[in-house]
Amino acid sequence: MSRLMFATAARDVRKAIGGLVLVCAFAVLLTPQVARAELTQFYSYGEPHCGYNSQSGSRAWAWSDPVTLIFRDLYRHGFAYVVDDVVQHGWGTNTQGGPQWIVNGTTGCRLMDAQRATTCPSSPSPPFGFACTRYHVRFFRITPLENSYHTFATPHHEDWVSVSINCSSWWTCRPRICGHAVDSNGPEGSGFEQGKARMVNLFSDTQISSMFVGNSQSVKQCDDDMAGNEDGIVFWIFSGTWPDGSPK
Amino acid sequence: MVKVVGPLFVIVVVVGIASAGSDKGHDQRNGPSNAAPGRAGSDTTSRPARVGTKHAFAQTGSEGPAQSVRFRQQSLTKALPGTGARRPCPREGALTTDFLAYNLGSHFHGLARTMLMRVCHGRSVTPSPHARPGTTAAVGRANFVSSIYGDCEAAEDSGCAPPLEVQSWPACERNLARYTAETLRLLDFRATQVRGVPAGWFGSTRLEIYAGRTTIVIFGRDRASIAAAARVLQTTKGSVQAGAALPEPARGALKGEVSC
Repeated sequence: MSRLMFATAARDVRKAIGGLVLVCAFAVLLTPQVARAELTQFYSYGEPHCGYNSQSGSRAWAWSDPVTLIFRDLYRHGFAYVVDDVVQHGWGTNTQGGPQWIVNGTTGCRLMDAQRATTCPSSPSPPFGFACTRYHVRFFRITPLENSYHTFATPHHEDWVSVSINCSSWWTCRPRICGHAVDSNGPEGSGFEQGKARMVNLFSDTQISSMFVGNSQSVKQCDDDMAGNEDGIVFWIFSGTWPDGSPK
Repeated sequence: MVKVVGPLFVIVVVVGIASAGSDKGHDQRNGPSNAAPGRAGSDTTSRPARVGTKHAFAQTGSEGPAQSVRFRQQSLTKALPGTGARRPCPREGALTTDFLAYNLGSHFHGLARTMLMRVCHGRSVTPSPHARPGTTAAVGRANFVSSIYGDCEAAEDSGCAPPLEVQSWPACERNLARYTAETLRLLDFRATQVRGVPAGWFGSTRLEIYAGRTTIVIFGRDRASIAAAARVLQTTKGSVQAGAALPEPARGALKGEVSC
């Protein structure tokens, strides 16, 4: 009798362990493909430590550009294909611009992977070939655990402002080297809205969807203007697909 | 037993996601009378508006340079295609809204209000995700009043986020229903209550409060400063004072069912 009870109990334990394993398997399967937390606040960072402050634990002070596009490499062509696809769609080939970083849930703060911009009309020789008003995008590959087939992008239209006059009052103005500044929020949409719209229009032969993430915070530019992803919408572009989702 | 565990787990996960937005039922419990505060209090932000240019700023009377406020107004009077239910943007130069606009007064915890913006436009070139190739239709628009507190130093090629920003959107255009369950999970959404009305944390840097016919969005650097800001939110004309209870969400606002 007691042997039978022991056998039954052992079977129950085995079933429970089996159930636990299955639960864990489901948990892994249902983990979002893009990691949560800081990564998904959908901003890039303007300094190499992604603004980490050990006291407050906050990084928000170093937010730079809102992420407004996610490229999904559905058929696993690779990151180089995604960037080349953007160039092939007519975005621009210039690779000059300042660095930015992103928080990757698994590897911490990491440098962007690539950037592309429209070429200046009467382009001077490098290193000044980027000193003009232009469209510009940075790419951030979101790797391993967040799924190696996502690329975050921050397309924008930016003005060339060689010197900015920073005034705290009429009588205290000081000049400052500026450089590129994203167009301010305005009737035509901020530079981030313009860049997003241009990219999405260029990819009209590709499957696209969107989601509202609400990352509409205003970001101050070096010419003192404010710019943001005003409508809070992020687009998904499924690289290497036709509009119906079939592979190219 | 093992076969049952999988579906059970899925149900638990689904319920878990749904509970994140469990305040969705709140507006129904509150009933129709809740629509009144927001609508009745339709706020006309009557402060003088100045169309901003680069480096322009407005000196505000006796306030010193540090308290100067830059007024910005950007609008597009054209209504969006396919969004007839939405009201057109106000004329350029006006700061008017048909919803209550909230702010923190002229100062908050030593931070001066550095900018007041009215942003309203819809880019008709924004494509619909379901549009045929080559066609475009707007899928959303920006429509908010923003008060920015404090300053930061932007570098070349990199912007910076000011310490605190309060955005007020019409609830019919920004509400909890605009997020999918998956997006809420990605954004680390946690439902809460602020001054008697439903609200939600998005990570530790954004709080959205659903009050009357307005969705108030506070962006900040940490939860403590954002929570402190939420406690002193007030309307421009004083219909809702700092610390007072906020108007309960208009009926259907949390579900995206309130009309503009």
